[in-house]
Amino acid sequence: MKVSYLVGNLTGVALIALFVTACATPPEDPEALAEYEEITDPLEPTNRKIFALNQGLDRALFKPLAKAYVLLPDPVRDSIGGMIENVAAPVNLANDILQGEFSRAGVTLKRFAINSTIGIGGMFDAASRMGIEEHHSEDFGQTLAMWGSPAGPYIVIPVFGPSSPRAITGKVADSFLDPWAYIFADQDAKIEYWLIRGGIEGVDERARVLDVLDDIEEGSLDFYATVRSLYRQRRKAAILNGGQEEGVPGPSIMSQVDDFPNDDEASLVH
Amino acid sequence: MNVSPLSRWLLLCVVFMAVGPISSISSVWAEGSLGPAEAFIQDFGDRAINALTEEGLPTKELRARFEKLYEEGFDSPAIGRFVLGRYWKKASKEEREKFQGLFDTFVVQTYSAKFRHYGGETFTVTESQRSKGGSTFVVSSKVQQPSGAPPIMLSWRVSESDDAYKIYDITVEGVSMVITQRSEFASVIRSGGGKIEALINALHDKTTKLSSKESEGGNVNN
Repeated sequence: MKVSYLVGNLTGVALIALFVTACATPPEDPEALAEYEEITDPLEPTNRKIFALNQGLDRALFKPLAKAYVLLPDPVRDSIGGMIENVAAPVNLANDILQGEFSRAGVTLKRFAINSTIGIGGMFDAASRMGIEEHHSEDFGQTLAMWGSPAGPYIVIPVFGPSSPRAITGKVADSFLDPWAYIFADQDAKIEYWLIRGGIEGVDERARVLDVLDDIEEGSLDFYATVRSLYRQRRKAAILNGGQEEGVPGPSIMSQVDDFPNDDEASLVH
Repeated sequence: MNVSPLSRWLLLCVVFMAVGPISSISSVWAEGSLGPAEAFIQDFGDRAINALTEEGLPTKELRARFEKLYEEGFDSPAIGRFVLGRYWKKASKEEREKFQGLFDTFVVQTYSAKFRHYGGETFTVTESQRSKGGSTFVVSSKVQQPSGAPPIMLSWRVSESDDAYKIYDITVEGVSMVITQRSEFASVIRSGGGKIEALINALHDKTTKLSSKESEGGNVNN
């Protein structure tokens, strides 16, 4: 069976699972309705099923792979991480520019030029050693957010996990922005490239949160709800380009309840 | 201008003598400008790292130390109210008390456990922002990891009353602890038919399960 055929079928099954199954019914009580709209998870019953499926996959496949991956010596993993970042640089650059972030685009470009050459394809982070700002990543989902597009409902995708229509659209757009994909003229070769690259990126990412996720799951009463909240907040922080690091206060939370002092109007003291 | 090597050397000496004291003054100045809320967080963070990342600390001791720090530094009643969200108003006095007790235990058990994987970190407050005319602060800080991995960005929300500071939230890399907790608790209550009792029962089960881990003993810091 051809790889493209297999992938096509899997995507089809996933889409059917997403859109055919029943949605949650919105509550009638106004306060409950406000809460329902705030969490924007109308597909929750289906999402929970896919989440459970993904957890099974994680236990059987991704977590063991990640555990084996962390056995590699640190410098080897650093090199793999560096190459992943370097391969993603053209897409990052395009999104930096599309967001009008020209100084960040400069950082991406400099890092790519230096690490591709002196750093041998990203294996060594020569750019950071030369005093250039650390790596950051941008995707088209973030660009859409900057352009004012809402995230839309929460969606859990089989294998890939938490997402949203905006993030999915972004992923598709990024695949067109990616220059490497155009090297492979043949469709199957292209899909193999995505699978291999996605696989390495996935294991690397999973390995970075081995302990953190275990702790969170152990301390969770409802792991699904926790992950949903974490995903949303992380995405928001990524869209704001880690505002906190640049001295802008993070999303104000206390304004949401009367019990807490409002720090909406936080002003710079230092 | 023609400058002989000797006078150039003398000039350098003069420059160094002048710059030396200035730079040491400026570092004293920088330390002096640490606002009271920043100083509170710097001190609290240093003490937390010292107390909680000690190697070979048994679970029981780790929890005891965490509990002491939590009681001292955090506004737990305000946090309890916030994480219960809109259900706080609906809860009876008895439910509120029951919830608060279980929630404090839950925080100590689950958040102390997160320190198992740490050791050798350094903690630095970077800046703070104050609400306009208000008594709340957002204090930004970073935790430098011994592995040389990128620092973890933490921001602390602190309120001031009667010259005492209390923490009411920590944001780790953009993730707020109280928002995450509130979102999870709301979900537990919703799936329990909108009853606060469902959350109280879930918290009871969880804390009971986690306490049995304590009696297993063992060293938590590897």
